[in-house]
Amino acid sequence: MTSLSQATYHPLHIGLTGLGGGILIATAIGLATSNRGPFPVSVITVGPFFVTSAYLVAGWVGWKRRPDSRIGLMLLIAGVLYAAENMAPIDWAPLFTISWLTGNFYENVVGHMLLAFPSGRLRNQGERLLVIAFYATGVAGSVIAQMFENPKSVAAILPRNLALITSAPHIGDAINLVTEIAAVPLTAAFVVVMVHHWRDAASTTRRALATVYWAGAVAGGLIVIRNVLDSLGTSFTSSMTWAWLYTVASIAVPIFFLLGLLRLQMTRAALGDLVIELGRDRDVQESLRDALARRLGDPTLQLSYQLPDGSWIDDAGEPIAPPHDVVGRMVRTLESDGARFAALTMDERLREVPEVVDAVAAVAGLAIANDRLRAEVRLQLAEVEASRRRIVGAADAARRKVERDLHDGAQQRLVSLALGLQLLQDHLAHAEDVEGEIQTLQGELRDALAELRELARGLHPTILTEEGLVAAIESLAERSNLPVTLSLSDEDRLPLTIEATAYFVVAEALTNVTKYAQASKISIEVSRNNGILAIHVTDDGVGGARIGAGSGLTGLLDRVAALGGSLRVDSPVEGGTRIHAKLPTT
Amino acid sequence: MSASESTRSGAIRVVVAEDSALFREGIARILEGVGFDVVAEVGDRDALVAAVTTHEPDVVVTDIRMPPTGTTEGLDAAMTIRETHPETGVMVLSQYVETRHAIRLIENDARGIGYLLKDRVADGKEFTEAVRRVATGGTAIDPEIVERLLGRNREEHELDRLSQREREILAGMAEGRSNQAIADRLFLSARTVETHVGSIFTRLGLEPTPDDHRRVLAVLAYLRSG
Repeated sequence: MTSLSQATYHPLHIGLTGLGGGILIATAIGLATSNRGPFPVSVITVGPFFVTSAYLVAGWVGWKRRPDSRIGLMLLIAGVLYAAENMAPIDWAPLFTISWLTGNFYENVVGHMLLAFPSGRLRNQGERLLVIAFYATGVAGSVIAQMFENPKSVAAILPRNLALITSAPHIGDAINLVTEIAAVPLTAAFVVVMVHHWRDAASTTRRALATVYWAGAVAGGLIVIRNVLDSLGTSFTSSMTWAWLYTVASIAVPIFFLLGLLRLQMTRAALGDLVIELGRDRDVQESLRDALARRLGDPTLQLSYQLPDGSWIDDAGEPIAPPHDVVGRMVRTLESDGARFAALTMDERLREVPEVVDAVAAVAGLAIANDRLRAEVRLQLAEVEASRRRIVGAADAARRKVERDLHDGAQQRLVSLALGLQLLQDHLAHAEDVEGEIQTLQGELRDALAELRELARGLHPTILTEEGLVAAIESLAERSNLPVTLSLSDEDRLPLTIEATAYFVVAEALTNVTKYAQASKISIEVSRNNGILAIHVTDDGVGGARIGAGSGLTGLLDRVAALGGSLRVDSPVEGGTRIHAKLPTT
Repeated sequence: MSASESTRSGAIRVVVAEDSALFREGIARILEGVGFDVVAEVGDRDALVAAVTTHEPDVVVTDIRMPPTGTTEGLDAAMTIRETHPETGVMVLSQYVETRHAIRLIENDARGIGYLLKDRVADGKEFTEAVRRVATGGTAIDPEIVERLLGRNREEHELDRLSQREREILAGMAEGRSNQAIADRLFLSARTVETHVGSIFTRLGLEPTPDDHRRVLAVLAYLRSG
């Protein structure tokens, strides 16, 4: 992105600016010392200083701000030429001659700038021919025609024309006539090319172009009006009013060019926004294309990616032909370590602003590389999350299996045993001592059964599988030895893992409250909203509960996190405890 | 209440459904031991429904968890049998008892419904009497459920003002016992129980009802809501 770097001082620009300044100083000395003087201080004598300064300053600033554009340089050249034209007051013949020959040659440079804006380069052979023809009329009308004009024949006091071939005013007039006639089709061609440029311009360029065309209109208008007035033979072009008009308008021309360049500059400032915008989190590639398209002012912009196997896909992931230049479109490939990984296909007109395209391509490259990294991380994260969910699911399944095994195995066996004892007792109805023994055994069996039942239930309550979360929480509340207020949502079933996690959060919270909180009541709230299952368990106990080592809540935190949810404990000392859990239900 | 009063042809006819053969056999022997006529022993839901159609028993004793899915087949079969054979009592046994299941079983009609923990099978007379009660149109709700509902800690509640005796009588009603059965268990006269029942109903603001089975539902619903 060298085009974005700061400009360095270039001898050419320093030389031109110095030359222009030197000419102004020489002219000032000429004005002060000429034996044709004294010259009155008026817009006619002072105006050229301002116009020249305007060109030089505009050229200097323009070049500084847009070093990649030749417009700044051309403004400097035009400034020097304008200064040279106005060296007439100098008595020293060589400089006077230069002034005599220069004429309005700077106007040709202004015309060139109009066609070459904004890069300062012409776009095709036709434009180059047009500009050469334009310069030719300039050279003919200014330089060659003046070689047949003897200043001495205008006024004897004027210095000599060192380039005078022969004093033949009619030849000069003839050449001028020819150039003026040639100017008509040339001007028409200019207008056509400018209109063409306008139509072709990308929206970013168009605003800058509009400003510059104002400069063209002013400059062109001046020339036309001057020529018309001259051919009408009026003396208006010698009047003070015309001098004022001409000077102000002439100053406006370089300023408009500079403004045009600066407007392009602002387009580049907009790239800063693009970097910021692309730097923000974007979930879909789609918006990268949209962002690029908007910034480049090209809604047709296409973003395509090259896969490692060399094939190409568009930003929707559809396979496409490799991007290539076609009429009206240009392709900009994005590379990293010498390997192509993406391409931007855009409106060919964006060639006019190569530095903007460079910057956008660089930013897009960064964004895509960033997206790739993020996608990889997301993929890995998704794998880890999926594995965590599987682990939770597997743990649940294991608990269900153990519960089932207890139910079908130990519990069933014990019940059968109790039943056998009962039968035995019936048979031994008359053996008193045995009966007492059996009753003791039965009592122990009953206790064992009750304990086993609670154990199995704690592992996985069957009602959770059978009836769902709401029923299971109701059952929990029923078993609590504290008053429980319930606020439960609808009974739509959720995936088993989610129901189990929510259930264990409530169960663990209730256990904690019972064990530690010294609470007098509990409220349980379960609600579902926008794909989130929210659980709130609140007590009015002593508070000070924390998720930490040894707390059953730690294991739950992992469970909840594995399902992409969150678990929070608010438990100020003496302020009761609130446990909030949120679980995504999809 | 005795077997001779409630059946026309002597013994109460019963179908036992339980997937564990050992336990099934045990239940059958217990019931036969006190004079029941076990007409069929089956191991899954479909066989149970078929046996009921074939034998039209007085009562069915079924496990809640049976093949094919091992979830609530017994409960589902009970609901089906209620519809197709309203005269057949259903006793559902479970390793765990859930209030919700109890309510679901009796919410339309508590007549001839029982819901007990499996452990009760080893309680001798208690169990066989409960089956008998169900077979003759009565109700039997597991004491654990009633205990749990009664024992629930409530904020400022009418139940707290009941005397111990009144709570025992309320528990008896919730389990589906008749006034006479409650009186027998608590060694009171039926008359005394009746008086207590009247006063409990007034205290709790419940509609008095002469039917035992409707009384069960009312009391359970009350205990559950409070």
